[in-house]
Amino acid sequence: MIFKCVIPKFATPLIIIGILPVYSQAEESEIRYGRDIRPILSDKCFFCHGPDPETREEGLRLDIREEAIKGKAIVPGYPEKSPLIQLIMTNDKNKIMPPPKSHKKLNEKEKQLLSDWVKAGAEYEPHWAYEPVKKGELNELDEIVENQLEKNGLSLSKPADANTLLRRLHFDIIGLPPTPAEVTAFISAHENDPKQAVKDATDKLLASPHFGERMAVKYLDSVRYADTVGYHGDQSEDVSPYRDYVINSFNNDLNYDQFIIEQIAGDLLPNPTLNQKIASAYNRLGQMSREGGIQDKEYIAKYRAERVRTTSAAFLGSTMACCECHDHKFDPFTAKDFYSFGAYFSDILEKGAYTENGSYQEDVKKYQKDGILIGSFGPVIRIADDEKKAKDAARIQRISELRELNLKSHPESEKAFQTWLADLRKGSKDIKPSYVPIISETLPKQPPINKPRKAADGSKATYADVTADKGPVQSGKKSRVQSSTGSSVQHTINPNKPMTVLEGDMLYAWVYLDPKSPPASVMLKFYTNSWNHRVYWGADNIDLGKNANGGPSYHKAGPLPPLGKWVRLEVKPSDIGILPDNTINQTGYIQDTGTVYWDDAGLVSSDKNTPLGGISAEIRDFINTPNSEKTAEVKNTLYGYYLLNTVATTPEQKELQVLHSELPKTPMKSRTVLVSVSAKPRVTRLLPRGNWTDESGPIVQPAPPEFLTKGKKIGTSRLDLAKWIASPDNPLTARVFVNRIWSQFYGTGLSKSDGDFGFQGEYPSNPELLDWLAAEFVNNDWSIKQLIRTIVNSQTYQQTSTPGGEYIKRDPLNRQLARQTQLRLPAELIRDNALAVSGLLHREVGGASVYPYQPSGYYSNLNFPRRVYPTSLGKDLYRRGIYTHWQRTFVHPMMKNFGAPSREECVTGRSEANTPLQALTLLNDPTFTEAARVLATKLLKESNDKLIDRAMMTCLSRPATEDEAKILNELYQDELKRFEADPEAAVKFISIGKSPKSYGVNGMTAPKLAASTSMIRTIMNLHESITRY
Amino acid sequence: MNPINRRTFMSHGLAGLGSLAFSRLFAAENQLGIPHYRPKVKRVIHLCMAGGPSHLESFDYKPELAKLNGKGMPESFTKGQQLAQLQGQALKCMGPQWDFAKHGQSQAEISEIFPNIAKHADEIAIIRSMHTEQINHDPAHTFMNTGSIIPGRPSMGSWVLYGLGSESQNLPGYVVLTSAGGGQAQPISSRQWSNGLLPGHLQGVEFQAAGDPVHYVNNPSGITEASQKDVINAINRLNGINSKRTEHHDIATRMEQYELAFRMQAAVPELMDTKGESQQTLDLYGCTPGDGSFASNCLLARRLAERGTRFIQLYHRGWDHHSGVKNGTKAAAGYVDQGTSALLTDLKQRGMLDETLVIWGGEFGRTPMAQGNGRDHHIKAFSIFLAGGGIKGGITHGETDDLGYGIVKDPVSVHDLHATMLHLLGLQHDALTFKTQGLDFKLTGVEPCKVIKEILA
Repeated sequence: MIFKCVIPKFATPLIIIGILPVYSQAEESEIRYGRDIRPILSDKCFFCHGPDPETREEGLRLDIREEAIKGKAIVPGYPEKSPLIQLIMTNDKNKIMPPPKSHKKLNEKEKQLLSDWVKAGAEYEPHWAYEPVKKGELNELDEIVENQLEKNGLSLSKPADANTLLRRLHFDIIGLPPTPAEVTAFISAHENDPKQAVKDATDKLLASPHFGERMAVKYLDSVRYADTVGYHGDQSEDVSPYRDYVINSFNNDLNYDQFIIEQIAGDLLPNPTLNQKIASAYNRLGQMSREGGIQDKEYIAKYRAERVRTTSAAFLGSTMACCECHDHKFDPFTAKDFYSFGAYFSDILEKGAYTENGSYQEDVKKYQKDGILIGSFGPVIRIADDEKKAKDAARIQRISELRELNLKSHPESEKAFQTWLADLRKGSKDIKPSYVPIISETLPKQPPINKPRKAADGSKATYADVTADKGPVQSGKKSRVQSSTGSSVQHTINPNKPMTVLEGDMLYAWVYLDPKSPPASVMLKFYTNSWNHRVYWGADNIDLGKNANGGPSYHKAGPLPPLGKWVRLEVKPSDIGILPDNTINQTGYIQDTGTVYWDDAGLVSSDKNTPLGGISAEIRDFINTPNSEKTAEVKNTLYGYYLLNTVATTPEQKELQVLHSELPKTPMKSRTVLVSVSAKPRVTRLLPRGNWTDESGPIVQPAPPEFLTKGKKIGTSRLDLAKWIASPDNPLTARVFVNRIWSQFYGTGLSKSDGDFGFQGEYPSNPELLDWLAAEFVNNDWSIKQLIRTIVNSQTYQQTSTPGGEYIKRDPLNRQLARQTQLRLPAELIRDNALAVSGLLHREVGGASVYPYQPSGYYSNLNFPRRVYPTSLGKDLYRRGIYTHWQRTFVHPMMKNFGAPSREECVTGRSEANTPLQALTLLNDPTFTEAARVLATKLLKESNDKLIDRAMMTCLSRPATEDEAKILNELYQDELKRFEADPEAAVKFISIGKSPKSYGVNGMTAPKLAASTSMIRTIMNLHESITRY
Repeated sequence: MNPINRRTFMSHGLAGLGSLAFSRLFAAENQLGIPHYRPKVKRVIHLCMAGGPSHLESFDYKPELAKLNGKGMPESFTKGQQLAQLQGQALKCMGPQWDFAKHGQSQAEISEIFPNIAKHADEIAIIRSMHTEQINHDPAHTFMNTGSIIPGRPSMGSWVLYGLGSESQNLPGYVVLTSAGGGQAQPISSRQWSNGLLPGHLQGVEFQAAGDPVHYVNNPSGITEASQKDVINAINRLNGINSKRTEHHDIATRMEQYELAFRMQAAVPELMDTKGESQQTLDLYGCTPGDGSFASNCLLARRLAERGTRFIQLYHRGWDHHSGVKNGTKAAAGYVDQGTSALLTDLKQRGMLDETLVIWGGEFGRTPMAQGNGRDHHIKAFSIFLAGGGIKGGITHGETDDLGYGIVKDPVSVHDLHATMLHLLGLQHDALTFKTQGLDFKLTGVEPCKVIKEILA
């Protein structure tokens, strides 16, 4: 069958990064090797004639001048005598270079450039990014830009309008739009003194707590921050405190060098602070796996390689990935460099396979101190959320005051409390700790007990329920007896409801070991999001979770309990890696040989929601000890318990009731965070071709890439690596960072390949500017806020982005900086903006990740365990995008549609493609419909006048033009007619979203609100709403 | 924009943009010289049997293995090899659990668990010598889809769209559907259909079995089609005014996307609505359309193919048979056999098989050694089959050793498969490159690979 494949031709340029022709800045006649020649040689020649000896042809390398001359490829001054030039010019298909099979071709301009260069003497120059940062003669950002513009016959555009400028500053610095009042104030300040107005606005925005949130958007892409482990089951991991650390560091203007050091090696600093430990989560943000059957060593190799890729790309703008298998084809990085770099991370306490197959490099018990716990994915620390705690402390303070007041003004109400307490004390002997049974005959419905699973050796297992006349029973009418002739046998029980574990809880199970046929060992195991929580008594011969180093997957509790009597086996959840707030979904009961009677099992809980569980052990003591002197907190808690179970009779009691109900139901939900713990370093070998099974390669010591240290000795600890990266002498670090900041404020970096400063990377469009910024940055103690001030206070930044056609045609990607750039907002900010203009946005900074609306069924392809999306409640539905739960394998569809990456790897730039899925999202995602409705409600409540203008001012910081108002009004009228004809549809439409609906007052009928919502929804869908000009 | 009567704008706009849409957006620049040669097929339907189907129970019959059933696996085969869950355990052979028969004129040996696929014996090319590099599901799928084990590289579907664009005016050019049944449902990451380094519009779009078939494709509740149309109309008129002011080409593209989104809102329900399918067709697939089954997805695949979708992937998550490989393979085959066969028949009846490449296979195979009564992951050899345009039907390519452990003839790498697929689409694998961060990326990576000429017609 024959048909023609349709290949469409382009009429207009498309935003396909990487294949658009780049505006050439080489208007000057002088040829510069780094800018004009090396990019050609590197792209077209170095693969076969470059640094990698394995693919080098004819023994010729062109990346070193002496070699090129010695190899007789170049005769400086004589292009006609230089085979390099002859072979690129020839028409002979058998001889032409590059050979056709390489699919590389030189165009005429490139050929001419090479020839002219040889003629001029074929001078080389060192690669710009590897040379020390040099400041030129000019010492102002604008001067440097204008100097280059002048050479190219260009000049700066006029400044942007005040409202455009304020929006730009807001989106760039805090990522949220200005309010109409802020716009009005700024416009008048700007009229008076434009410079001062911008300065003041900048300072105010830089001081905002939302600055850190804005900066973190791009930064978290580069450090591949996500809330799940990525591989296979993509289970959740708690790392949100690290995200907050990043936000706070930007807000506190933590010097960038210190910021780097803390992330790579915060744990190794002398007496590290809690923040520095949290920062070290950076090393642990890579993907991890617990897929069944994976090999420990293979995944250790994967994690190491990922750390090298991320650290080299994120901080050094270098692509070392290729060196896992071979020396770099273009850059001077070698395979040895790759493994030496990786060796810096070999001390990190971890497993490759977070399954039974994996083991830590040392006994983890040694490290379970100073707040370090071993969770399902290795070491974590628990953090106290100070801000939330402060709020609770304020409540408790107020509770004390109110209580005093109540005592004074309503002593009779206090008597009622004393009576209640006395009654309680009378019966106090019966108050037990609160048991949450997993299996117990007291349960109304028994959870199913799975059939015992036989051991692999096929030995026989028997089980039966026995009543008291047949055998021992601990409680109720029966127990369960189980025997095994051979090795281990287990039965599992899924609790009726998943159980959340709290601080201080205890897990238990009753056993009776038959003295005639005792088992060798008994084990309990629990499934949270894995089975790696096991505790055993007796011999260590159950294979499940077996691991020479012990740890939470194989925790030995002690010898076999006494035979012939009921014993309650108990284990502290934290001993087996179940941390507070973890949820137990399944439980398992295992014995190795022998006969065991099993009875009730469960959890001793301190959850206030369980019967009497609200009364902690401490309060029980208090009740049981007459006139005991206890803390005010205990008294208050007890009083609160009383109040919540009685009718308030005084105003103070009413307020107290509210305050008590606001206190967290469970003890403060504190978060954990993965951290780096330094243990005995693993041996690192160079893996030939990256093959982890090949152990023939030499052992390597930690070292930075050799060519970058130039013979200087750098130490072998992670801290040494961090300090080397963060050193002012490192030619890459400051350049890479200022270039990324530049791209945030200008759309494209001065070198657009902001993840590759190697030979294949782009020569900077303005190298003087890049170096000047880098030098200034370092001179200002790596202050990021100062860097931003320098950028935004410049005329270059404040230019209009809409200067008219000529500018755009001449320089479509704006590499010359003769105007500002129009930038589509990143995914997170598109969400934030809609929520902010509507007033729905909840501006709390930091905290655990949240779950905004998401289409149902989106997680259906996840397993181990299956996932149900736990949509947030209340204010958490309206948090900024940066707090949205980041599921690596299924990123929230709204975010994904607007180019948010999966964060499985370091990403330094997002796809800016423009797709119909984006239109569908803005049109139909309930978040945006709800935001439109909430804004419509607010505006209609204020007044019935000038609805369109006020909506435009709120959403776009400007009034509507006459044409625009006409279009919006027509739409409004049509929609009103439609909704008046079908009020039910109107009610449906304005019922989208969980925020409360309010209409019916001030003439706000459902159809009117719906039509206004349609109108505002239209504005929120505009290109202008998602673009910063 | 001229002040056009807005009532006429929408129809005008649609007509005017009809020729642009996806096809224009979804294409690599002409400088790649595409197509490199005359294409044999227009599209690919990849039936991905996720979990790793056992080649020994499907397309690679091993009587010698049957003889060694229960006996120790000769150490010469396995010494020093990477195993998954069987690492360090005593290795025993397990014979094929199902009988095989010879089918068609070609006498291709196919297991009895595939009575329907077997009817196509003379149309399919079986490859018994596939091998891969990754022994665990997640990285193995990533390798199969992207040719790399480093996450973040483009999926083959994205590469194909990048090279050829889509022919559909109003549906995505790369669509993914999933189903489950017959064994442990391995998770599947959306990384498998990610655009990776390529621009975002080249990503695969997953159609959901439940809820909205495509996220956000339905109008908000209470909004009629007319209302939505008016809103989009107003958005684009306002964007038009803005476009004049800012002269940014992005706005024109965005306006097209709103038109396209609107068309998609109509096209997706039309796609999913199978009322027009004859009873005969429904009987052929043997499914209730829209039930989320593999067969139902096969029917949708045909409908997508008809509407110009370039790359269609159906994942069936049910082939990870660490235990119970006998009943498991039978059960999983029960989920996919009829659907696969129906798809081949249906495409053929409509004259579309010749312009479609159908690939059936998993991310790896399974060990000849027993794991209890199941089999472990195996990367040294596994079987897949191809059918459709440019494929030589009725041949069996490649050979494994007597026990189905290693390859003894014509090994085929994942990159070879990619190169062959691209070749059939008219693309030369080492010329389809994308430059980013200074490097030229290719689907087929840096190691040498080849088009499997022997299976081409």
